[in-house]
Amino acid sequence: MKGLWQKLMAPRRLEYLEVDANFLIKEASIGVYRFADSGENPDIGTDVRREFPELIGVEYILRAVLEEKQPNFQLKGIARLREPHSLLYFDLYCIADDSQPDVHPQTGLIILLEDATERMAMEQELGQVAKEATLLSHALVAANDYIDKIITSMADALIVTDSTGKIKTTNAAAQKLFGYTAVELRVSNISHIIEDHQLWPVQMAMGSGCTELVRDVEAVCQMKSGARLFVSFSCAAIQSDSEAIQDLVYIGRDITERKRSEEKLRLAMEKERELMDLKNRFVSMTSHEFRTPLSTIISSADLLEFYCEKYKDEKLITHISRIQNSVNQMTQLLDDVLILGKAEAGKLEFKPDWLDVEDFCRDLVAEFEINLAGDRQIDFVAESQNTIAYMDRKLLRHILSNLVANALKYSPAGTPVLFNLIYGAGEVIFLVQDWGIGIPLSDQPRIFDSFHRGTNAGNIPGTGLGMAIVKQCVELHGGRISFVSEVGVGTQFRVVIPFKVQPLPEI
Amino acid sequence: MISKKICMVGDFSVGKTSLIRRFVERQFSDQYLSTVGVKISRKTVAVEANKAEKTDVQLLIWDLEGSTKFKGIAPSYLQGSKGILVVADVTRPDTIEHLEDHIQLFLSVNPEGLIMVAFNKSDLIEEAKLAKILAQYQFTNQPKVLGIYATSAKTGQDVDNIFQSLAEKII
Ligand SMILES: Nc1nc2c(ncn2[C@@H]2O[C@H](COP(=O)(O)OP(=O)(O)OP(=O)(O)O)[C@@H](O)[C@H]2O)c(=O)[nH]1
Ligand SMILES: [Mg+2]
Repeated sequence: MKGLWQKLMAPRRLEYLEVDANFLIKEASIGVYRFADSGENPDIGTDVRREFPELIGVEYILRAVLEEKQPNFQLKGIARLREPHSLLYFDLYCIADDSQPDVHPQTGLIILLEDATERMAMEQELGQVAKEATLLSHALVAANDYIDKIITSMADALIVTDSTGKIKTTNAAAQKLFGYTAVELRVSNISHIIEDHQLWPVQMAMGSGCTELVRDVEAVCQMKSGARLFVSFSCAAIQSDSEAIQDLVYIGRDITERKRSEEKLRLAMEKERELMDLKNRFVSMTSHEFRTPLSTIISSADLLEFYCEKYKDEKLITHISRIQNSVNQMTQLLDDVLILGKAEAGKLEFKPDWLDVEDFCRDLVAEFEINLAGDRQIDFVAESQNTIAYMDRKLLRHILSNLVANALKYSPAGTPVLFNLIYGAGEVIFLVQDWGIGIPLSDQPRIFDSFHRGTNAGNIPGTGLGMAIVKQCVELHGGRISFVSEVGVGTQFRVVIPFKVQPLPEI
Repeated sequence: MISKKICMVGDFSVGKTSLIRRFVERQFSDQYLSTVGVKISRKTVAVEANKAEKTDVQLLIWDLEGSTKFKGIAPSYLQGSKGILVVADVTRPDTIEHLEDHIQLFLSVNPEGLIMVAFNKSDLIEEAKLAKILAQYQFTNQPKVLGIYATSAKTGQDVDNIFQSLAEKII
């Protein structure tokens, strides 16, 4: 038996063991030590599991083989550490020893051991390469995912273009900022988005070796909707594999809101400054303008006192009326200052309503006529049937009463004042014409400035605020005011107010 | 002294060999040398057989070739194994997904076998992420899963514990 086995197996580098039903070694080929755990040949009569621990736990299978319930048992690729770092592999193959066919169960097992080092080493090498490649590709995918996640979750807009500005990649923030889809952007060019040429790839100095091209440059950009944005851009060149081809990465941050609040702040500061100006002018005005009527009041009062004692009567009346006039003048001045103050502070309210403009003008003229001297008259002409318009009564009154009062004030007795109401296409036109002293050419550019009075006004009383108020009120109506005037000939004011500014009347 | 066979099961490169190396040799290497076939390591541990005394058990730890997309684990290696350590790499979600398959395979060979789950390479991720994974994978539907550990062959965290408790359970 032994001789035959050995002859058969030697050329195939096979070794064998014969064990009994209790796994005790009955016989072993001389090369078995190569596969034994200790590296030494086991003694006959010892438990095979001592040198082949792979058999521990599977005794129930070995028994099944002995009982011929299972034809064989095998374990492939068992490793043994030989010299450090050098592994030897073998396959273990176990069958029942059926040299005594009549005996059941069989009295022993034959265990064949075949060197498999070459095969396993090859398997290891191939497997190693494949596994490392898989790990690497996983790592790459994970890294890519990670970068993608960073790019998508970035709050700043990211756009990658080639050197001609053709867009290659964008992130969600860029799509949202400019209102395009990713696909729309991908067929677009950066020049469709950024208006400033200086940020187009062709305009930027590339290939100079430095990758950062610009940093925090503010540019006007256009959204898909056509709306404009202020975006602060940083731009860098991406070095690609081929040196000649360079891509650009733009990182943009929407600063429209910041710009807007800067602008708001600027306007607020401007208004603040205007208010300060107004206040200063008011203070200096009060000191000058109030002094005249006040000194008149004082002196008239003094004289009144004197005459009261001396003459009683006639002169008394004159002085009383002077006091009244001065007080009226001051009241007017104060009213005007108040209105103008409101207007310049933006607090003059515009509360339009439906009104019949012709009726309104006639009432106003009638009011004037009560106090008019006998030789004065206001010729009012309305050239229309339907004269309903949407205007603010209070403001309209300021406009018209100032213009009519001025016309009367600056024209001599005996000359008429013409007040004309015309309905044009979508607008109401008021004309107020006098044949009075006129406005000198040098004063004309400034007649709407507060406290400016014509140099030829002489001692005709006035605050110099009326025209400023008129202009404010006209502008609140969305209208415009103009005039023609010649010294010694007369003046005509023309106020045009559109009546389309109104919202529909509330019912 | 009694000997017990246990197996390391899991996807390739999850750290099966490294866990054994840490447990048996108290060493770790960053190099990856994939295992082929099977290699047995032995380690004797003291377990509490009954309340009073401790007995020594020799663990025969079978280091198996990890499964890949193309090659599964040969069931014949699992025969006669009292328990397994099924291992995943916490940095590779697919290896976690495959835990269930490995458990199924083992139980189909050894319905009475016991299982410990090792979420290995726990040194590579933040506490919070780890906690999330542990909360998500409880294996409550697997009565044979007796313990779940976040291990690291690199730092040694819970390596002794997971082997020790598997030894205690299979005794
Ligand atoms: N950081 C870290 N790395 C680990 C850990 N465990 C294993 N590794 C590394 O992961 C790689 C694979 O480890 P192995 O122990 O060879 O993995 P395996 O499961 O035996 O792999 P196969 O034999 O191919 O199935 C090696 O590079 C180890 O250094 C760990 O806990 N932490
Ligand atoms: Mg391994």
